[in-house]
Amino acid sequence: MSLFSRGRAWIRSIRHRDHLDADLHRELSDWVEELAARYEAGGATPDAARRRALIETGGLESVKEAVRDRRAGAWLDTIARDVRSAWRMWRAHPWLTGTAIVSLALGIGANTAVFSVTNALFLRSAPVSDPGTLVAIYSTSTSNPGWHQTSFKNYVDLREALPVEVLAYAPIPVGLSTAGSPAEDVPTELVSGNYFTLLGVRAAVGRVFALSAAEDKVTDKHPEIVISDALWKRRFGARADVVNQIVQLNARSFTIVGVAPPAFVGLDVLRAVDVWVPASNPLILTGVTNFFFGNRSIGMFDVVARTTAPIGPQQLSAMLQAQASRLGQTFTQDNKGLRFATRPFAQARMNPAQRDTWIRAAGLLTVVVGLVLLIACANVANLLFGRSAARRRELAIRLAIGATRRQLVRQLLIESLLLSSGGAVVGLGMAWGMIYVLSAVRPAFVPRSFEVPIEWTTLLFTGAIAFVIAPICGLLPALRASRVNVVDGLKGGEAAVQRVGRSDLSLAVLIAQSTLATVAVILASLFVSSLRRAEDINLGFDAGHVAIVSFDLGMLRYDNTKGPAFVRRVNDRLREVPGIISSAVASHVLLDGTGFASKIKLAGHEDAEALSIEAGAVGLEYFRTMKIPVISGRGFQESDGAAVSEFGWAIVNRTMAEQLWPGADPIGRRFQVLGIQERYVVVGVVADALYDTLGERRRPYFYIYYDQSPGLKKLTLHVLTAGDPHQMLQTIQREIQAVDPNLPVVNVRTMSDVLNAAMWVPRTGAALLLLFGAIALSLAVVGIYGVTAFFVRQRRREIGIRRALGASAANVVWLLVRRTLAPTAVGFLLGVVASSVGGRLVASLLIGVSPTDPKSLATAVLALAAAAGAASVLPAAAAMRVDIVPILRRE
Amino acid sequence: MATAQLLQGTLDLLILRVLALGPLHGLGIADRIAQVTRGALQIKAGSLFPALYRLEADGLVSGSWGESQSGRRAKLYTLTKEGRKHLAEEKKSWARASLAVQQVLEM
Repeated sequence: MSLFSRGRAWIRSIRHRDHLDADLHRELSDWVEELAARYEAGGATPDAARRRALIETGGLESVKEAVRDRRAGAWLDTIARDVRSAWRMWRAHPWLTGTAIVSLALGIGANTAVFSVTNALFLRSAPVSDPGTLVAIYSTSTSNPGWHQTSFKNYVDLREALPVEVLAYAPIPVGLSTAGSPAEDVPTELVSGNYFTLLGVRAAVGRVFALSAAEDKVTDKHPEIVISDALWKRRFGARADVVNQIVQLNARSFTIVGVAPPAFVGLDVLRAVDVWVPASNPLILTGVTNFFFGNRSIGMFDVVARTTAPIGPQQLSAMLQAQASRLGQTFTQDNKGLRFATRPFAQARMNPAQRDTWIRAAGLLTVVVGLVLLIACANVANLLFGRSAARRRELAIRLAIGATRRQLVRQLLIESLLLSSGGAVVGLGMAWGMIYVLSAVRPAFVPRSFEVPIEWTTLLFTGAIAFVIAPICGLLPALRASRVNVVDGLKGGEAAVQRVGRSDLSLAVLIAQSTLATVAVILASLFVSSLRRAEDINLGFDAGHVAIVSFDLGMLRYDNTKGPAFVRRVNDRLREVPGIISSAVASHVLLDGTGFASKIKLAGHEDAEALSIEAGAVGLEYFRTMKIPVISGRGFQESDGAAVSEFGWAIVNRTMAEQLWPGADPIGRRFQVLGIQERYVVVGVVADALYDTLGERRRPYFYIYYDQSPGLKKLTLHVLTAGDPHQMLQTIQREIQAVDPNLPVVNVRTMSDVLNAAMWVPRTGAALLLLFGAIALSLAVVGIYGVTAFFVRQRRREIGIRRALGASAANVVWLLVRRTLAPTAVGFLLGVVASSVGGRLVASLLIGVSPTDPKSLATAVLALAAAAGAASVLPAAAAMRVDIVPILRRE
Repeated sequence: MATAQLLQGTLDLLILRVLALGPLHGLGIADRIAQVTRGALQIKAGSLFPALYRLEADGLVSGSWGESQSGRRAKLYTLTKEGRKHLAEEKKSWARASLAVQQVLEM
């Protein structure tokens, strides 16, 4: 039979369903009547004949059911019928339904929210053509392992030597100004000329730039930029005539040639780029980035290759090793020990080291919300158990009139699917709300990538959860319920309920639930104490009264004399202001990730591989302003910068002194910074501080004197105030403008603001974990309450008889404790074990707290015990009130 | 259900064959099958009606209300043109299959 006529029959059978049902009924009645007439003619009484006819037929309803089942499109029919009856069922029990849907919605919502962020950060592929063939290339070496950026000079050599195309990109500090408006810090990347073409990204408006390797090397030939869709809309009102408009970047003129498509905001997911500048414009770079750009030993660029047949990732890797040893031999000084490491591009959309931490954090959140979902499922399974026990009669009737066990199970599964779909819809709303709140309170420093719209992958994920959890919560209760004994079920009463054999299952649910809740709560409490530890961590400096203001002297093309002179005049003016104690510039802001990596070689060890150590340049009163104690030797002096000396002065931190010159006096030691002519002499040792992150280990760091490195143009003025530093921000800006009204100042804030920013991730993380832990705990409380209350209801008669026979209140409570609190306690223990094992995986995310921190464990267990106790108080009280007389009378 | 085991799918064939002789109502079909097989196959309502409705939905038979031979009101089933064609094909393939089975059994 053709597909077409089959389809037609299907549609017909759906359209005429009611008509067919009526037909069938008439036909079947006729059949029975005719049979009965036949038996009557054979001599039976009318009654006996009719009964025999009915028995022969095998039950009218079951014949009808068999016909319906075999009809075209029957499955759709039955499912629609089941959905309708499930809908009626849930509508009839609003409280039960509400509890179940809210439980599931909490679980699903949390999972959806975490998934959409994880998806945005790790799973979503870049909007570039064929991302599967892209390979990220990192520089590394034995003494400096890890995944590092590559210097532009090494990149250029690679691009020329490799048979595949290679691109590079690096973030740079840029102030953008248009005619008549002040400069604004915009996230900018310096990119190789083949960046857009190799990625296959076309301009939405205008064109992209496409420059060959040779053109990339001709300096300042192509002052062209491509801007992001966001910048285009924000700053240029989405006007089409933006193409060919001239803008100033760091006081140099550039022509906008095109606008990138809305989806493309660069390759690094943690960095939404607004401006792309061809690398043939290094003069745009100021200060230290300029130094980086020209320095072969310092990595600045992320490099990505597009592999094309016949060169796959493996061949590329082999070629890269050959190039690394060639570059190492040709440029021994800069590239000693150089190797290249590759990574699939999909795993390289943020720095691999950073990515591991993020993945760990995302994994942790995923596990916790997974626990919440499982607890919610256990709750709903529990509710459905109770429900199916109460529904024995209904199910027994259905079985009695000819429903099969399969039909019952299908019906019950559809009921739980309806429930989980309801949970999914409400949960989606919750997830949307959570993400909305998160992006609404997102401080400016948190990358835009955290603003994740609910997209179709998320919807798919949520739908999949709903489908997966429906059988998890519904299957066991359904199987149990379908094993109903018709006779007992119809008789009703407690006998039938007791035969459900519920206790072993609810026992398992109790244990599982309390295990999961314990893990969730312990994790939450670990991160809260980690946060508390972080709040009063020893920073190594005093952030309390320091105001900071940044500016980039490169934006106004200050030269190496004008720069220090400007800084000196600003410092002099500030010193006159009442309420200001001291001030100093620095090339970095502690805990803001703005220090620069340098490679140094110790005097006497010139042949060894260079050491990577971060450094910063600071002004005269920096240590006093930041209250960083000088441990030995001295701080910088005015005279250090006055005369041009063949030496630069360096002050090292304690860790650097201990690691590089163990057991010896570091004062007077010399080292060389690659790419800088002068040798540095250590004149003092200061205490360690936290430089990049709150969780970092003690590490070597050194300071050089700003007056000796006037090439540094991007500076931050640190001002120590007597009172609240926020009050002085206006004054400080005014004093700077008094010296040069044209210099744009950016990032006007206090060190406490910086500290708050650094605390954002641990705080948000702890808040989320606390929230999820609380949800897990309250769901578990509801679960424990449900089981205990059910137990009491089920055993009313037993409890009543015990009471009547003289059992004390303590005896009855003991009964409860044994049956419900004991499994909860087992769950606690399992949870403690599980979290001490699992805690090891997240140890690196904790600040100053061990994953088996006894205080956190104790807090968690206490919270759980209190919750479990609270959950059983009401049922226990109910058990106390059981009165045996009415129960016995009813029986 | 039946005195002799009915092979899966053969009920459809039997119904079509019986209807090829003329329109019949449900009980008439069951009676005719019992009669022809000398009581070896007693088709019950639970098997007959699902098969009939399926055949009707597939367009191989068509039902209309009329009178049975005994003068009762009944839904009479007629073999359609498509049903006739289907029966012919099925008969051929049945013959082939039964011949094949026969050969195997008498090996």
